[in-house]
Parts: sequence; C-alpha cells; structure tokens
Amino acid sequence: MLTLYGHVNPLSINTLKVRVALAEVNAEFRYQPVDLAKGEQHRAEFVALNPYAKIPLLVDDDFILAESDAIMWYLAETFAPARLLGTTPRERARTLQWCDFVSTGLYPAYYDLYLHTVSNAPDKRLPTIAESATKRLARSLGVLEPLLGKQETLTGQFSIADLSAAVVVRNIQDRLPFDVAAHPHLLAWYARVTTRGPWQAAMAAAAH
Amino acid sequence: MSIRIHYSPLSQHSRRVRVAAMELGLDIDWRLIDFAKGENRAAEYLQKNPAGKVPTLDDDGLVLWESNAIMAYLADKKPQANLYPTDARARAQVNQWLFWESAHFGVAAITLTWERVMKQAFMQQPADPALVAQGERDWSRYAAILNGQLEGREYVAGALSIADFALASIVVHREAAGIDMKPYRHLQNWVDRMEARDSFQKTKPPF
Ligand SMILES: N[C@@H](CCC(=O)N[C@@H](CS)C(=O)NCC(=O)O)C(=O)O
Ligand SMILES: N[C@@H](CCC(=O)N[C@@H](CS)C(=O)NCC(=O)O)C(=O)O
Repeated sequence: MLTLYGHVNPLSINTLKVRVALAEVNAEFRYQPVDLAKGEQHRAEFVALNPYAKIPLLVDDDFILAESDAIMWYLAETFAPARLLGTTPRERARTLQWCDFVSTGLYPAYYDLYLHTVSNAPDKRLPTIAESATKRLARSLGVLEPLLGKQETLTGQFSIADLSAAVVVRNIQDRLPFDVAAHPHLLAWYARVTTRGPWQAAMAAAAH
Repeated sequence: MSIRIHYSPLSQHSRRVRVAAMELGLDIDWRLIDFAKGENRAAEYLQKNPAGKVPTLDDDGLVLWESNAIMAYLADKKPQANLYPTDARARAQVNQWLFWESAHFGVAAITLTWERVMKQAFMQQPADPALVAQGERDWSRYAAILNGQLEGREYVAGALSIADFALASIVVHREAAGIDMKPYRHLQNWVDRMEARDSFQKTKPPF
C-alpha cells in the first residue's frame, strides 16, 4: 500500500504534482497530511522517515522516497513507464532534462518571486531578489513559449515533466502579480494538461 | 560520430559531467564555451540550449542540457558501471539525491559561492548580506542532512553514483566561499575521498 505524506492543502504545489501523478498511474494511496505551520515536518517520527524534513514523501511498504520529481519518476517507472517517461533512452533523457529545467529554473524563479512579493512579511521582501526572480521567470517562460508553439508537450509526448511545469504555471497564475497572457502557447499547453482526466480527478479528490 | 559536449572549465555543472564521462570511460568531443566572449548567448548556441547555460550535449542529433540529465544519459550508455542503477528503487534513491542537490543543497552552496566569490570576481559587486545570511542558514540545515547520510556510508546512495558527482562538485569553492565544513566530519571526509579520485583531479577548475 502506498502512503503519501503531503501538505494539509492537497493543492500545494509539490504535493499536487505527486497527487496528479498518482492519478495518472491510477494507484490507490493513503494520504497523511503534515502540518508545516505546526512544524510537524521536524517531529522525530517524521524525520525518522525523511531526514530532509520536507514533504511530499512517499512510502511504499518498506521503501521510502522524498523529492517530488523522484517520486513521480518512481511511480511512472513502476506503473506506466512507456506512457509517462518515454521508451527510448533519448525520450527518457528529455523527460529528465525538462524535470531538471523546472526544478532548477522555472520553479525557483517562481518561488523567489512569490516569497519576495507576496508571502514574506513586507520588511522581509528583498527588492533585489524580486527583480532577479522576475528576470529569471521571464527567461524560463521564454524558453517554454516557442517550444510549446512547435509541439504539444515539453518532450514531444506527455510525461511527468508536463506535470512538474504545469503546477508551477498554475501557481504563477494564482499567486503572482505576473502576467502570463503574453505566452499563448504556454497557456494552450496548460489547458491541455489540466483538462486531462487524472488532473481533473486529482483536483476533485482534493476538494473533499 | 562521438558525443559532443559544450562546457566551461569554470562551471561546476560542467565539471560533474566531465567527471561522469571520465568515470564511465566515454570518449567525448569536448567543446569549450567562452563566457567572456558571450558564446553561451550566441544565436547558434541558444538554438541548442535556449537556456544559454553550460553544459549541453549533442549525441548525433540528440541535444540535451541540464547537467544531471546529461550524467544520467551518459551513465545509461554503460549500465555495467552501475553509476545510475537500473533497478527502479535504487535508481529512485539516486534521483532523490540528484533532485535534492539541485533544489536544496546545491542552491545553498551556489548562493554562498556566487555571493562571496563569483560576484566579486566577474561583476566587481559586493556580496548581498541578506543573501549570504540565507545561504548560511540553508547550508547549515542541508550540510547536516548530508553529513548524517554519509555517517557509516562510503557514498551517498550506498554505492558510488552520479549523485556523488553532483553533490561533491558543487562545493569546490568552499574555502573561498566560507562554506563551513568543520562541523560536518563525514561530509568533509567524503568530499576528500571524491576529490582524490582521478576524475576530480583531472577536472580541477582553473582557480
Ligand atoms: N524539492 C522538494 C521541495 C519540497 C518542499 O519544498 N516542500 C515544502 C512544502 S511544499 C516543505 O516541506 N517545506 C517545509 C520545510 O522546508 O521546512 C520537492 O520537490 O519535493
Ligand atoms: N541546472 C543547470 C545549471 C547550469 C548552469 O547554471 N550553468 C552555468 C555555469 S555553472 C552557466 O552556464 N551560466 C551562464 C548563464 O547563466 O548565463 C545544469 O545543471 O546544467
């Protein structure tokens, strides 16, 4: 039986992508919310499972795995490798490349901008970071926009990389004073990803 | 045609790929990208790598960037070396450390390296105290975790893997960057072991 430790808000970015991946592979799982506001990630029982003291965390019997992308990859590999990772070494390498692009480029740019324009207390918002994050975010979206004008998905076939990127684009739209309207191909791709059955199912499940 | 990789000798992300290729015994056609001449922002290069960064691999038409993805791709050419295990769970654990490096541990090390070393060397700008403070906080949190993992283990994921190359390459400027290793004995010993390897010795940065 799979157990997912995740955010009390199941739509929280790193938790959501794993929940959609679970829906994509149609796996049943038990959901265990970890309350970050109460510091539950630092509790001894949790740290014993995950020394990183972060969520999400997947427990598959005696196998324990952290890091959302590693978790999505493992789920895909276990349940539906050809469909969610690609079949050839080249396709799989591209899937990993785009996951890495999101985790080292798109996501940190979004998150820094979120922290320093929205989430931090006003006296903890650093204009230099907000400024550099705005540039980095524009640069990352500038990489995606022409690509998605040429193809339907990041790698050429739907993969977990699309999920990684889509949850960030969701949060950019929901939370940031940043206009993505200048990226029509990105928005069209976002609509394709988020109208998939598993995405819809994960959203519906989170509403309960 | 041999595999071509664009790299910079100054780049930690390039270095991990050079280390991996050397450890795998792969024959690579290395192409230098000169940042000083803006070669990473030249139109021809951006066509391969729209992010304008190094490293970038070109294997007979497969263009691939992101250093961790390149290492994984190279390692899959020599599965017998077991630097990127093929068993799903063993691979997942290596992936976990790779993603943790790029999202957390590496970010802390890069922040301190950039603020205290590179920013002054390349842009003649002083370190930003708020970013240094953030880097210090993150470093002490994440270094303690890696140190714990390395207690009683020779390598991060048990056996030597590309995760070791990613994690060890990112702390190369630790002295100049004021990255404190003293409280982390297992981490220090492991970095020493990694840096003693031929592959690390032969890819030392020019400064
Ligand atoms: N790189 C990690 C990021 C995980 C992460 O940042 N989780 C946050 C919640 S979304 C967390 O647990 N924060 C608590 C903390 O760092 O103390 C992943 O992709 O899983
Ligand atoms: N996530 C990327 C990072 C690559 C990276 O940041 N490369 C640096 C050198 S270490 C670079 O090319 N910087 C030039 C620039 O950003 O313009 C990877 O792992 O390959």
